[in-house]
Amino acid sequence: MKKLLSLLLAAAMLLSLSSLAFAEDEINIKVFHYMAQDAKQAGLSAIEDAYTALHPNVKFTNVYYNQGTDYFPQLSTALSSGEQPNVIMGNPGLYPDLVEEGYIMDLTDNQMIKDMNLPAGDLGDVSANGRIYGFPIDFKTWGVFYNTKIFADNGLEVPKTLTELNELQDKLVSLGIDPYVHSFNDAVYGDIEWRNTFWTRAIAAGDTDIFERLMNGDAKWVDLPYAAEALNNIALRLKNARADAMSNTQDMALEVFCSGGAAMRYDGSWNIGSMLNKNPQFEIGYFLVPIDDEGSAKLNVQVDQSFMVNQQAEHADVALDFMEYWLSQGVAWSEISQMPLNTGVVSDKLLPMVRTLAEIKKSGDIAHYGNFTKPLTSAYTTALRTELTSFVESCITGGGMTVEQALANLDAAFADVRALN
Amino acid sequence: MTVINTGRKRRLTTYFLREHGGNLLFMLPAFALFAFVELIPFLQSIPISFTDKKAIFAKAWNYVGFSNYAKLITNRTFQDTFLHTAHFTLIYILGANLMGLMLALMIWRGSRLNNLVRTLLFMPFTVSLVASTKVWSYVYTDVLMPITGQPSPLGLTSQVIPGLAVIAIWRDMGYCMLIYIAGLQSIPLEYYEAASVEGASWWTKFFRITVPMLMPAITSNVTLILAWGLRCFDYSQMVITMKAAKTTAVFVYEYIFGNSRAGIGQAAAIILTLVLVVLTNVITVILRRREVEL
Amino acid sequence: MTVKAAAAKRPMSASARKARNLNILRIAALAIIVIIVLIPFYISFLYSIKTHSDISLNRLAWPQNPTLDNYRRVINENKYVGIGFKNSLLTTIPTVVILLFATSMASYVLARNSGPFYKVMYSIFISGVLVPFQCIMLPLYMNIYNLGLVSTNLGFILARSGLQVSISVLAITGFVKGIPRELEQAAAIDGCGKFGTFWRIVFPLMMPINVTQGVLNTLYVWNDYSTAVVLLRDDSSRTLPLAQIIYFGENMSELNLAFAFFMLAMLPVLVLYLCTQRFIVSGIMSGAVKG
Repeated sequence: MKKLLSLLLAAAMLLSLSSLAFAEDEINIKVFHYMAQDAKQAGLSAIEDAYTALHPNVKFTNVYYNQGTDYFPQLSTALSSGEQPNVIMGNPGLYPDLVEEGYIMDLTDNQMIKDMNLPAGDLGDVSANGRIYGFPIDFKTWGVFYNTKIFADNGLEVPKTLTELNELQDKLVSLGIDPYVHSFNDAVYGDIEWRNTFWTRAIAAGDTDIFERLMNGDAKWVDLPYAAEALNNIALRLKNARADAMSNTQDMALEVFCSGGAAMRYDGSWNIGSMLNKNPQFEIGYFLVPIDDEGSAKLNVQVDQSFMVNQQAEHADVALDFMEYWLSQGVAWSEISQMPLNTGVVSDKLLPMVRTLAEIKKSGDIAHYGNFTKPLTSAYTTALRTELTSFVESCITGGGMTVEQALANLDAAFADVRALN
Repeated sequence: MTVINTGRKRRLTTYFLREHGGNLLFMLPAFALFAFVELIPFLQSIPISFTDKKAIFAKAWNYVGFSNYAKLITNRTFQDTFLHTAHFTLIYILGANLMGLMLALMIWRGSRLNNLVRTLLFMPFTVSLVASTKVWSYVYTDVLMPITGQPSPLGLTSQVIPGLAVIAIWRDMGYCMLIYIAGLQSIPLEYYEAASVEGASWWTKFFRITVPMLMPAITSNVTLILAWGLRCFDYSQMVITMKAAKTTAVFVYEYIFGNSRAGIGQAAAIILTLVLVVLTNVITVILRRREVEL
Repeated sequence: MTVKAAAAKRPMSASARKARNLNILRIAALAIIVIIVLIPFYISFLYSIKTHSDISLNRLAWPQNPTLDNYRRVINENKYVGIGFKNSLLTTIPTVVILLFATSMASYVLARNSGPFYKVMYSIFISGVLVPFQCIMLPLYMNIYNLGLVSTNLGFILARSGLQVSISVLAITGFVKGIPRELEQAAAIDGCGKFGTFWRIVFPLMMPINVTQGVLNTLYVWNDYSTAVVLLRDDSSRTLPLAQIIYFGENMSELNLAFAFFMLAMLPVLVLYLCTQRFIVSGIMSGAVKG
C-alpha cells in the first residue's frame, strides 16, 4: 500500500514537472463554430477542459458567430487577412471554397474515422469531391414533437399514416386546440418541413444526383413529381396554422409549445435541449411524420457537428489530435449536448427520445443527406428557402399560390443564381 | 479671405502657401481618417468588381471586364432587390419627414411641455438599429397582434416592407423633427404677422411662408434619409427569409461573403453606390432650386 | 412674400376659444403619439423585470413579482458586461474627442473657402455618407489587420472615427456658414493668425453644434454593430452592444435576461442624451438647415 502511494506520488510529481516544462511553449487552438445552443457550448468547453487537463500547454479560444448571418462571412474575412483558426465547424460540401483553397486537412486515411465504421451517408456529409474533410460527430433530424399530456387527455394517438395525421389535425381543431405552432421567421423551418418528403422520395427513386442536376440546370423543379408531393404535404399541415406562424422565431414558438399553447411542433432535434430548458416538467413525444398511407416515411439524417482541421494554421497536428480526442469522447459530448452520435452509441444519461433517434439511425432505415452526390451550395439554399417560405406564407394566408406556381418560382430563382455563378 | 491681407503686398506664392497650407493642415486629420477608412477601401474594392473572384480568401482570379455588371443588370433577383430598397426608402422618406414636420409644427415653440415631448420623441434615436429590430419584432407579435387581431406584418409579403419602414420611421422621425424645429425657429415671425394682418388663412401661411422657408431643412432631411434608406441593411436582415424584403445591401453582403462570389457582390456594391450618388444629386438639385434666399 | 388681402376681423372671444380647443386637440394628439413611440421602451422594461414564469404566463400584464434579479444575473453571470462596458467607454470617448477636433477644423476650412478645390474636397468628404458599409468592409478589415489592430480599441477607434467624418463634416460645415464672419475679420485685423482666430474666436462659437454632434457621434459609435462585429473578434475586445447582440442571439430562450441586457446597454446613452438634450434641441443641425 505504502509502495503504491509513493509510486503514485512520484508519478504525480513527474506529471506536474512535465506540465511545467510544456507550459513554456503554450499552444492556443482557435475553434470557429456556430453552435448557438447553451448545451452544445457547454459540451465543447467540457471536452476542451478535459483535453487541457491532459495537455496543460494547450489552451482554447472559441469564436462563435450566428450561422445564418455572420459565420461564414466572418470566417472568410479572417482567412483572407491571414488569420488562421485551427478548427473550423462546418460540412465541407457546404463550404467548397475552403477545400479548394487548400485550408482543410484531408482525413480520408484517418484511422479513427475508419474505425468508426460509419455508413456511406455519414461520410458523404463530411466529404467533398470524394475525399473526407470533416470529423462527423453527431447528427440531426426533424419531425413532429408533441405534447404528451394533450394527447393523453384527449385520447389522441400518434398517427401512422398521412390520413391519420390529417384526422388528428381535424380532431384537435374541433377540440379547440391549435394543432401546430410554427416559426417561419427562421428560414430553416420551411426547408425541414419539405425535406422529409423530398429527401425520402428522391433517395427511394435513386435520384441521388438530384441537387447537382437542379443546380446545373439539367433538372427542373416543375418536372419532379415528388417536389410537388412535398409541397402538398406541407400545405396539408398548414391548413389550420396559427396567426403567429409566419412571424414567430423558433424561440417564440418554443415558448408557446412548451407552455401548452399547441399540441404539436414540427422541429429539429437540435431544439430538444431548449424545450427541456424552457419547461423541465414538459413531457414531449416525437414521431416521424407520415408522408403517405403506405408508411414510406424515413428518418432524415444529416451530420450536424462536423469539424474540419485547418492545415495551414500553426499546430495543425495538435488540432488534429484534439479532434481525435473529441471523437473518442463521443459519449461524454452526447451526454452534455443531448445530441445523438453518428456511431449510434448511447448511454443511459441520454434522454429516451435521443436514444431512440440514435437507435433508428443505427438500424439504417433512414434517408441520409450524405447519400446525395452534392449538397446545395449556400446561394441555392438561400433561393430554396426563400421560395419555400413564400409558398408556406401563401398556404397560411390564403394567398392562392398553386404548387405548380411555387415550383416554377423555384426554377426561376435557381436560374437567377446560376446566371450569377 | 480677401479682407485678411489687405494693405500688405506679398508675393503670390507665399500668399498661396500661407493661405492654403494652413487650410490643408486644418483638413489633414479629418481627411486622413476619412481616406483610411472610406476612400482608400472604396478604391481598393473597385478592381474586385471586374474579376471572377469567388471566396474573398481565394488566391487566384481572372479579370472578366464588365461581365459581372452585365450579368447583374439583367438578373431578375438583383433587380427585385432594387425595387424592395426603393419601396422601403419611399415610405421611410415620406413617413419620417411628414411625421417629423407635423410634430415640429405642433411643438416648435419652447415651453415646458413641448421640451418634454421633444425629449421623449427623440429617445428612439438612441436605440441601436439591431436592438430596434429585435424589440419591434416583439411589439408586432405581443402588442399589435392581440390588439388588432392581425398577424405581424413582418411575416407577410405584402406588408413586410411597410412593417420595416415603420420601425425606421419610429427611430428617425424624432431626428427629422428636431431639424424642422430648428428650421421653424429660424423663420422671422414678422412674416407671419404681416400675413395675419392681411388675413391669410393657416394653410395659406403654411404653403406660402413655412414650406418655402423650410426648404433647406427639407433638403437636409430628405437627402440624409434617402442615403440611409438606400443603404438599408439591418432592417432587411432581420426578416432574411422574406424574399420580398431583401434589399440591395443585403444582396451585396450575401454575394461577397456568404455565397463566395466576391466579384459579383462587389460589382453589385458599386452599382448600388452609383445609384445612390446619382439619385442623391438629382434630388438635392431639385430641392435646392426651391430654396429661397433669406 | 405676397399674401392676398382679406381683412375680416373675428370677435376676440371666439378666436380665443378656438385657440384653446385647438390646444386641447394638440395635446391629445401628442399624448397618443408619445404613448405609441414609447411602447417599445415600455415592453423592454416590462420584460426585463419579469421572472421567466411571469413572461410565459402573460406577456403584457404587469408582473406579479417585479424583480431586478434579471439585471443582477446578467451583471454577475456574464463577464462580458464588465468587459463590454469598459471597452465601450474606452472606444467611444476617444472617438468622439478625435472627431471633435478633426471635423471642426476641417469644417471651418470648408465653410470659409469657396474655391473649386474646396468644393471638390467638400464633395469628397460628403460622399462618405453614400458608400454602403458592405462595400468597404473587406478592404477596411484587411488594412486594419495589416496594421495589427484587429481586436484592439485603437483599431476600432480609427475605423469609427473615419466612418463618422462625413456626417459630422456635413453638419458642422452648415453651422459654420451661419456664423457671421465679422468677428474673425476683426480678429485678423488685430493680428490673429489662422490658428489663433480659429481657436479663440470660431471654436467657442461652434459649441452648440459640437455638443450636438458629440452626442450624435456617441450614439452612433456606442450603438455600432456592423463595424464592431468585423473588427472586434476576441471576447476580451467586445463592446457592450456587440456583447449584447451576441448574448441576445445565444440566450433567446431567456427573454427576460436578454431584455435586461438590452436595457443595460441602452442606459448609458439614454442618460447621456437626457442630460444633454437641452443642447441638442437648441443646437441640432441648425447648421445643416443652412447648409
